[in-house]
Amino acid sequence: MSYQPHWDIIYQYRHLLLEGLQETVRLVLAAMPASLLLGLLVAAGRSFLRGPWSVLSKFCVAYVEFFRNIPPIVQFFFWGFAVGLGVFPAALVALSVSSSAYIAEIVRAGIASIPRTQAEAARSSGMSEWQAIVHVILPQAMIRVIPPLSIEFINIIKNSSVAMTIGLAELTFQTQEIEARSFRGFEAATAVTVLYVLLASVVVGLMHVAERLVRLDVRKG
Amino acid sequence: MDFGFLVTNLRYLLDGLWVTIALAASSFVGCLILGTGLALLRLSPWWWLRWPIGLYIDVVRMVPLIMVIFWFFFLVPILIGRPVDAFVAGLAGLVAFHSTYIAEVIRAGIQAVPQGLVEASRCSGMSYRHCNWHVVLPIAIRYMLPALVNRFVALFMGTSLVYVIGVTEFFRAATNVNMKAFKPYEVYIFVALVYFVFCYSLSQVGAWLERRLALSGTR
Repeated sequence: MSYQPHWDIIYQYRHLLLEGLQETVRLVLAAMPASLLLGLLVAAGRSFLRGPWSVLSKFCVAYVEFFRNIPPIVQFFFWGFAVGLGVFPAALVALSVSSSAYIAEIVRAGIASIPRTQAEAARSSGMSEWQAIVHVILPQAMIRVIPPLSIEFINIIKNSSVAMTIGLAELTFQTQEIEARSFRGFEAATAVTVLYVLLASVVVGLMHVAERLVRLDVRKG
Repeated sequence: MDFGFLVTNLRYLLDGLWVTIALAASSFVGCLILGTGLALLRLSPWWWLRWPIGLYIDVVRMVPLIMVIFWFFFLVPILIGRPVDAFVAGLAGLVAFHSTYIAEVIRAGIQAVPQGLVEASRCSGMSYRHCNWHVVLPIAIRYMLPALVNRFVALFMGTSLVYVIGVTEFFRAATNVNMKAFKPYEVYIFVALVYFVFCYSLSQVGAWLERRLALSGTR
């Protein structure tokens, strides 16, 4: 093996890497709250809708099953090239919708893991159904949801790389760009891989802090 | 909406679908082999083996699949000194990526076997190997099987990403058809439905296995 890696290309193309990092962070930061909100709505719809509204709850089940079973790249192409949104909006919608299906499932499982007696106790102590959900069930469910949620947030970072296929100049896109300009794809891929690991580690660390804060908050009541 | 052009291109699309299925099946076999190895190493009694493997698994799971595929596409030519076939690079990327997930499934399955059962079988005179074959493995597989099916669904969807290095699997075949016919709505809805039918029925099998194999009273 006579290959001489040229690590200096990382410094040479640092502006491309930084631009890519910025674009990835922008997409991920927008997609996280969007998918969390969508996921919460769908999970709540599935868990709490009763009586005449249960038709909507069936719709929520279909939503989760549908978007969980279609590869993200197909969703990116659909919003980008069939609907024809701009590159960034298309990536944002595709990423948020596909992740929200997983988040909905995580939150639903969290809600289902709270014992029935909690809701019954809340209701019999005079709380309305709505109060029981907001003050008793959801706070407990959210604590249990945080660890799987951090895995899903890492998946959002990872799936944001699919946006390169519709032309968003994020980190993975810049790998190919550097390869095209210098034929140093290996060095570029290594640098970008390190950046992704750093990004994911930051999210894991922040979620740990969030979990600790929420636990403290609940204990104080 | 006009789906007629899909019929004329059916042969081409089916060829692509066949590549997708071949890629998914062969990389799943690779993942099972590599994943078992990784899981056993991660369960090793020696920390100097356990820690690096654990770190490797955790790091790979933080990297996007596209990056792993690119890695092999750029790295393998350097190692072997000539360009690599895109299918092989894609296969290697898929195996490297998904084997870490499968290793975790296998490790969790092995660790879920109640220690009491292992001790009981050893006490009743089974050898270490007998105990592994007749006690640990059958129970661990029951724990693992539904999760493995779900991992296969993820792997099946993941094959669509070898698109980026130019393998003509189902998704790329469909985008090529779209370039000729320019009917993006029809093409991407059709592609979504085909993936959905495959993945949804597979995940239903996983859910059925989970109900069917649920162990009662061993925990």
